[in-house]
Amino acid sequence: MDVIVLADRKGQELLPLTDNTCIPLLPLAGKTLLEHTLEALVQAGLRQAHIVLSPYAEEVKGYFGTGERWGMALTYSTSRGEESAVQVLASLANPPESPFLILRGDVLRSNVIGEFLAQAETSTAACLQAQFAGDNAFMMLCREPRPAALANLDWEQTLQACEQVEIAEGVVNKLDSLAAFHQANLAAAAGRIRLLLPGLQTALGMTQGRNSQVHPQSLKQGAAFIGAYCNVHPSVELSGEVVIGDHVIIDQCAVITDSVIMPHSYIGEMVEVRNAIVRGNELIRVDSGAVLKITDAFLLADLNTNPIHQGLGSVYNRILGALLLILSLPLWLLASIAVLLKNPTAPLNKQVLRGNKIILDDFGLPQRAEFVVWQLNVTMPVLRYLPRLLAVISGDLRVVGGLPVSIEQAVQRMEDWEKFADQAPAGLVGPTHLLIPVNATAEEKLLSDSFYWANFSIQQDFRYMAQALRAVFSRKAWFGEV
Amino acid sequence: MVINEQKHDDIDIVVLSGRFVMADAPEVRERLKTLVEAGQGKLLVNMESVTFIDSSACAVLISAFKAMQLKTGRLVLVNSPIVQSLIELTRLHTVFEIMPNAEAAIAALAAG
Repeated sequence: MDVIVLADRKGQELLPLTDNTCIPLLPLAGKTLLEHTLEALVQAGLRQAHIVLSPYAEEVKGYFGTGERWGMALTYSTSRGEESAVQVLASLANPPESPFLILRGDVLRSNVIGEFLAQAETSTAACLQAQFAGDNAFMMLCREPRPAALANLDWEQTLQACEQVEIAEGVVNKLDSLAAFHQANLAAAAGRIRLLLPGLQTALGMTQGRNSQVHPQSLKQGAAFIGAYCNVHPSVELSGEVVIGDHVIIDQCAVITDSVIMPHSYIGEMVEVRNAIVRGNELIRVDSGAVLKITDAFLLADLNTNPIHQGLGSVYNRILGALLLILSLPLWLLASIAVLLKNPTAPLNKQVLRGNKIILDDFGLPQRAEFVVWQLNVTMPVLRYLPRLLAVISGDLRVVGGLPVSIEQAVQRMEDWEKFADQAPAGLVGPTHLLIPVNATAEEKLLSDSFYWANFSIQQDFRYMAQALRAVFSRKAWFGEV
Repeated sequence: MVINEQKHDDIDIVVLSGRFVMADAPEVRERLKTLVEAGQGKLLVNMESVTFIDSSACAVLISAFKAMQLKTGRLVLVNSPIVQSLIELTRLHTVFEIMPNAEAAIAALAAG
């Protein structure tokens, strides 16, 4: 049977958890949500599915691939996000053959698909919709190509009449709020939602992922799921229902009660977390929905490092910048003469741009820092931007990267595709500097940075460096527009 | 790059083929602008035979999309696999309405 999995929710309801990932990739009790959906399909004997994605589609495809790991054959397409199911079906290159199962893959289900299909077999209706506890279970069996009732699968539902099948057992959780997400995690840890948890039961009520260090006596009462590669100090107290994601460190004497700790978080010494979701340095209170950013890294911290400027890459860039500065010394002499002849009273222009260094803002959020750079008041581009070499040495710019922009320009980038270009580090040279005309539209420059980042490779950076060196001797570098 | 304009009832169709890169951008930009301004708010850009697009080409499509939005019209793309993967890579699939083939796109535009 053909299966269509709609996994294109935009995830506004689960912000801030979805501000740098999508709902299908959101970790829930040690696995991504879409992984739970695929496992539920396999349990129901369904081995192939077509998945409709929207935000972070490339990341989802990269993670699930052909689906072999789950014993499935997966294909993908994309939507603009929360598109109507009717429209999604119309846009499929290979529409499913009737009868087919269509369901949302961005809600949590446990043990309901098999029962629904078994019950559906007893009916001859053209379209059957699953109901759970009187509510929409976002799952349909269709015996005709595009029934109007498909609208009932839209995230923004427009309810259409359809024959319904009530599912008596199992669980369906829409995950339509932070509280629902929190509850689903706790229920999975306690076994109220039956999921295949990735770990072994090491003590009564405690399931532990691979390579995690946790002492059974830490669990004072209740149930806990601890993901992979975690380090929980023996003096830590876990009580109620607790879910700890992968790569989490919990320091001594911390107390965790009825909470979800998202992957890559650090909980400091003697910190008490109760009825909350912790993600990095954010404490999300489930009862009030308040999000507290903790600036003191001894209390809560994000163990994920920002890839833009960490590691040896940054050091190599700065050394390369110093080398380029030495090589450019004759140009500085020429620039000094040119600027004194042309604009002796105002030889420099000040610019404030957004660089690559990461600082924490007042709310403890990592931000790219601004830096001041001077431009020489001459018409020759190659001389005009010479002072930017100093920004490479200081680590504010990389040698190769995207076009540096001001904070004001950056905050105007609101759309998902615009923000993608923002992930590119700012550079002294790059495809946008070298190939895109100065008078090109802002969109063209932004997309050039997007393409650069989407196809990023070290070899490509070397090619741009070689191109930039050649460009120094070109007519455009000396007589081009600035 | 070959640009071919067609009309299907009130739907304007632009069929592009070959490499759609920076050198072609001004001409395509102008043709799309004219069609958006003069058309009935239904534009299909068929890139099934486009073998490569660059950032300038994407910027042209974005401009046409924004102009169509101002006119409360609809712009639908039909992409070759290589174009589709580049559009997904740069997350432009969250902006454009994309259909699998020209027939489906015409049907979608005709349905309003």
